[in-house]
Amino acid sequence: MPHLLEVSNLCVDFMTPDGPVRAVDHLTFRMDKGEVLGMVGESGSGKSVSALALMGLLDEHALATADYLALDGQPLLDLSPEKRRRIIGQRMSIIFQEPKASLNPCFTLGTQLREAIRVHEKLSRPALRAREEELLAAVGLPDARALLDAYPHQLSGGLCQRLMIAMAVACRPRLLIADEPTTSLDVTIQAQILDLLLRLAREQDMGLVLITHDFALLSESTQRVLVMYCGELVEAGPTAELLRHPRHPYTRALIDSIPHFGPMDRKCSRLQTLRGTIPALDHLPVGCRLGPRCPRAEKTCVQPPRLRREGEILVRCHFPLEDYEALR
Amino acid sequence: MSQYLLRKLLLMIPGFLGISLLAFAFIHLVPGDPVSNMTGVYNAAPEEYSRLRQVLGLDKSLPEQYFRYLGQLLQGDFGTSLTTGQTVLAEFLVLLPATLELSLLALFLAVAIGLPAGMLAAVKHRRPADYAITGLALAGNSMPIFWWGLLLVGFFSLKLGIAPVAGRLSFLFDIEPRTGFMLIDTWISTEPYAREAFFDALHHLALPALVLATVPTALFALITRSAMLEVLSADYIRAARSFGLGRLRIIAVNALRNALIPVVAVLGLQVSVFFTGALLTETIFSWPGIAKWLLEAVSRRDYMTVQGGLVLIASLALVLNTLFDLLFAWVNPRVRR
Repeated sequence: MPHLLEVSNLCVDFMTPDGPVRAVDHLTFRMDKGEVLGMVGESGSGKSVSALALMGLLDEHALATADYLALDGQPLLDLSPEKRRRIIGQRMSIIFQEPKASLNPCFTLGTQLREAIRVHEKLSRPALRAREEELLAAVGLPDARALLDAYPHQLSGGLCQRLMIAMAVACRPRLLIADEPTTSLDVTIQAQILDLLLRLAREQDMGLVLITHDFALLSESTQRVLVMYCGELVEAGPTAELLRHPRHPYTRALIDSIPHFGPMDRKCSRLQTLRGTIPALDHLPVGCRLGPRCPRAEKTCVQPPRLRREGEILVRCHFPLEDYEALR
Repeated sequence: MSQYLLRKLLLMIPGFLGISLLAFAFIHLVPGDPVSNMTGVYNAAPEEYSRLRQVLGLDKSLPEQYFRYLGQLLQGDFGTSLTTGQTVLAEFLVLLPATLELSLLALFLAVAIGLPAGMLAAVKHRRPADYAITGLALAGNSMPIFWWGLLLVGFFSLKLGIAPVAGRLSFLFDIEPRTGFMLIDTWISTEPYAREAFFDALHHLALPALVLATVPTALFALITRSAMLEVLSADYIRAARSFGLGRLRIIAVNALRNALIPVVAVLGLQVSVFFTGALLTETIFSWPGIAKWLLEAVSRRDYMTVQGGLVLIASLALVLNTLFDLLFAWVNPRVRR
């Protein structure tokens, strides 16, 4: 049985006046049917760019290349732009961070929802109406036809994101990429939207890629996690194992930066942070890209580390952490 | 929406009061004596002078005079021309169609050329087509109309002889002015030469309309381009692409609809600029419209015509501005409530 998504050595280069800058560097992963995969990393780590490249939605000045890219066993790279377009929105969909900005302010939500359906399916008027009802119910807005006559600015961010999700799943895609779907929403709404996405993925047997910079969000929702840093995959593995025993110092730092509430079960009350900031893509450090920020860096780290397997986990580090030891 | 409509309509009242106040002040501020300015009588005997003063109400206080004037305006009395003896309103209404015909055609040209050109420039951002359109638009926008008009007359009319120099219609044709719009009048005329007259009218209209359209076309192209560029990089355009919509459809529907908002806003502001352009264009082409009429009234020191004409034109601009505000609300859902 083919995998739902197969990505082999995906690279994305942005053409700048100073030459190409690599935003995603040889990203390789697979995803099974109905799997929920997390993708985590700081801003600028290449998560969103990878997602856009998978969808084929990159801007003109970005160039995506890969050895192999397939959805449901169908290679996507050889397709003409026209054929690729027919897959976008139908068999693979994406939702973005800012639901309000992602909705066209000049059209009612109903118009936009119908547009999303009609691109791929020619439905009769009653069938279209039935599909609308079905989608509204699916995103937890039953009996909410009135919402379809509203404009985006009249609704809250949470409602807009629900409708955005309805548009994304309008044609029952096999894969949904959610690019920071809850970042701009209230905390209480965040949980609702996340639950909605997970329920839809389960009910429709749809693969879900959850992109976030918030490890806490992934802990209970995903089966596997990819950790990205500076356009590279630095660690990948089952979520539970990764949380219990992160091998890569960067993963460890991300986990440490999650605030803990309730009784102090750990000694450190101060939130751990990684020193420095993510480097610019055109000024990457030599060797390991985390090097200058890494508390464990040694001379060897000027050699670029390769991804290697440690049990169920893939890690790109010369000195992976032995157990859940302190970073410094 | 109805609240917005009501607010915009009510805002016309202070606008009109402002116009009337300025027009009233005008007759007292222009050089010379108000009595002479309002009657055209310059060497009146003392008894005659004081009688005129009384008839015109100039012996009353200024506020009283203003309210009297406002009352006249509200009754549709915009004064009487000192040179022709006709009411200003009657003359204005006779000449308005000529100006409207010219302006509407110019506006149509400006939108029909400027909008697609701006869209094309935005879609071909930083490519030769973009540079060509932007360059032409910048040149057009900074073109002095009187010079440009004379240049075109010199080339097309005098050198090549393929365009008429002036007027709305050749003297050969005798067309009954039923609507005042020459294109319509010649079209509906039953004269045997109606068809020839129609094309002759179009022929006369072409060059002035082109001149009048130059600056607005350039402006529309530039504004459409920048609005479109902004819209095309918006998140909702990326989202529309993620639904699998085609590029053409996204540009022509999803993006254009948003880019129209700033374009319509500028369109509304262009009304007065358009009139300035019409003033120059009508003068160059001896076009018998209100702008030329007003200019001639100024040179004849027919102050009543100037005053009444200004009130009428300003009121027209006020109405058009309000109309464009409503159009703006119609294209921009975030404005209406």
